[in-house]
Amino acid sequence: MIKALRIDHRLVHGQVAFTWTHFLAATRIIVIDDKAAGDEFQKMALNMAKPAGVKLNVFSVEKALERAEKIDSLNDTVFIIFGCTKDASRYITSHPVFRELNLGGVTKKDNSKLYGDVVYLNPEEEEDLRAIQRTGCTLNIQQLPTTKKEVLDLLK
Amino acid sequence: MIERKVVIATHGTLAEGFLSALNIIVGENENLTAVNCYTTPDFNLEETVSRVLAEAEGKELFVFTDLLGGSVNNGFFARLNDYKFHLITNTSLGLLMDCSLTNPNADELREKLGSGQFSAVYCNDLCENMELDEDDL
Repeated sequence: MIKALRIDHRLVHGQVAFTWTHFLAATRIIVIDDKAAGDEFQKMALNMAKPAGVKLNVFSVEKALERAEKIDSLNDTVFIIFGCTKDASRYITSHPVFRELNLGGVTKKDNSKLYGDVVYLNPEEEEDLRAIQRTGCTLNIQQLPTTKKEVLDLLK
Repeated sequence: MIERKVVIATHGTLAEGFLSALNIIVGENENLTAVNCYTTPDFNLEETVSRVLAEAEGKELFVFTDLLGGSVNNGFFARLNDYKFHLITNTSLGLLMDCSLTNPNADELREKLGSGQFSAVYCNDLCENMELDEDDL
């Protein structure tokens, strides 16, 4: 089963690998990110960063979509991490079965607006997230399990 | 002999804390720098890593980070393929003290870390030895 989905530009790092994975009791992390999937060195770095005993897959959006049904029905407790709003939107709008998406970290750009913690969105990224919301998936901003969860509604 | 530079980089002010403890136990060492990460909201890891590497140009650089799998170590690890330096993670005060006192080269460091006395990891060897998980889905 899929336990949680998160957008985090750092992909697998301390907050994800240790704190969230432990909190969710995740047994498999699936990174869906075109850039990481096409970079062998980054894939190796992600593999190094993954917590012991947890399985890791790094897929392009296309490859993940091919396996979407299979991913949904895994016996593992799955934690899906997207590296950017664009890849998240491409996956979720093509496979619109999710109820909630957590925004962990979206990096600052020149024309971006701060929405909370370390979530900076430019107009293009806001549009990606609106498309996700239109599938019936709610958005929330929460850095760590112990910090307050704030709902983000971009369709208002 | 090439000049050595040692950088301790961690989440929060742990790096500064390590340095403070080292100054008390071993004494001050001008080749040693602490880099505190994420202590301000606009902290930029990539820029910080690039700055550390640029400042060590021409020197033999040893970077000690706090956590295997943490973003600070990930950030430095990402540069191992385009920059020559030593990256050690899961750093302990004992290891930093030992390295400050003995100034090990790469082989000596590898030997120390392999001895089991320290829990730290020499990341450069992970690059060479890591086999990727098969795509099992």
